[in-house]
Amino acid sequence: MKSERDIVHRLLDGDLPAAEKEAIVKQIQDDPVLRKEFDDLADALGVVERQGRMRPPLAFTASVMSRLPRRTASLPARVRAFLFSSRVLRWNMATAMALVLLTVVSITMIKQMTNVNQEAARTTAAPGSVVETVRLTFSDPAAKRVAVAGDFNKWRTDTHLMTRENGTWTIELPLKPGVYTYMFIVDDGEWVTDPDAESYRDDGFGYQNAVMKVSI
Amino acid sequence: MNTLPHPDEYEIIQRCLDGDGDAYAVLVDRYQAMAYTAASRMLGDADLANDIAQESFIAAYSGLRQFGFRSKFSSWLMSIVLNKCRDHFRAVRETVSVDSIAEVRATGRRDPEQEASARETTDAVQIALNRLPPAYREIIILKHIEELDYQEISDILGIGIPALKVRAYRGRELLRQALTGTGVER
Repeated sequence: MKSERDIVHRLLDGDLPAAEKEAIVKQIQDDPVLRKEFDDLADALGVVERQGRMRPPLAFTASVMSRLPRRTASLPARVRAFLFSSRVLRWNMATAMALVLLTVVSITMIKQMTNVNQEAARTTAAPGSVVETVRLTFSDPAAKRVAVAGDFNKWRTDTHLMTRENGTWTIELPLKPGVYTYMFIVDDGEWVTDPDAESYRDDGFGYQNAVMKVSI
Repeated sequence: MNTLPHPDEYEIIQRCLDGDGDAYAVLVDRYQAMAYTAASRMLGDADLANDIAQESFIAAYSGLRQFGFRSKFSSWLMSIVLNKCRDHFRAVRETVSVDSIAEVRATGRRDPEQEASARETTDAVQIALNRLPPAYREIIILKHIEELDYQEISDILGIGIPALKVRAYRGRELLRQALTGTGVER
């Protein structure tokens, strides 16, 4: 009896491969004992299955929804909703005119403030930001190459080469206001003090550096 | 009734998580009959089933962040309903005296009040289900009312399929015995 029931229940489980199901159905149909066992169980299950689902009270959904806890959206979700939620803009002519007036006034004020700021920048610029052009000259017709080195270029001899004009060597230096010492380097080897310098200062090696003062 | 998950459920649940609680009404409408039927057949009491089914939806809503789409929403909801029914049985058992339990065991009846209520509504199926231990009620509901496959039942109950088949076997046998003599027309 136990094995007969096993067969019947395997069919009622409903997950047999087609071939096995067919074989068991045939076995049940051919065996009166099995058939009665199957019919009894199938009848009992049929009563339950025919009942199906039950109808909940009409106000079920409304009742659940009214009892739901308030959920606070996460910060990214709130930002996303703020940025991408559709909105309806309601307007009237008075509001539109007020917005136009506000825009015109704002633009005018911004322009005025910009002009004032530029003027202030011109009049209050720091001395360190102003650059004056200083022209140095050195007369040596026989020289083939003359450069100038000083504390404005960290005494480098290869960055500020002078140009020759009729035997006179010249260079224009953009410098901020201040006091600078410098020397000329003739033909890559001879350090020569500017004979036309404003003043001189000992360099600590027995020579005199030329001094120039740049002011606004 | 064993269906694939609705394609819009991910979007609905995401909207709920984003704070749009109204979106949840779609899921309540969709699964209220399933939840109510399961609770009603488990408990045999319409009012109690209504409360348990509603509480299950509320618990599911509160735990949506833990859901994680690891199963169908309907499977997850069903597991909550059945857990709440088990909690109810546990609470009732703790409040019933030892004598009452002995009497129930002797008569094969689980809850005299449920039995009386079911008789009043002449629901012979419910009377028969009430006579089954809850674990067998669960498998009959899931397999033969909801018509779920064993894999989904396994997901809901957290029990392996071979053990479920044994349980279904015994449940069907007990149901047949319980229906005998109830006067129900087969």
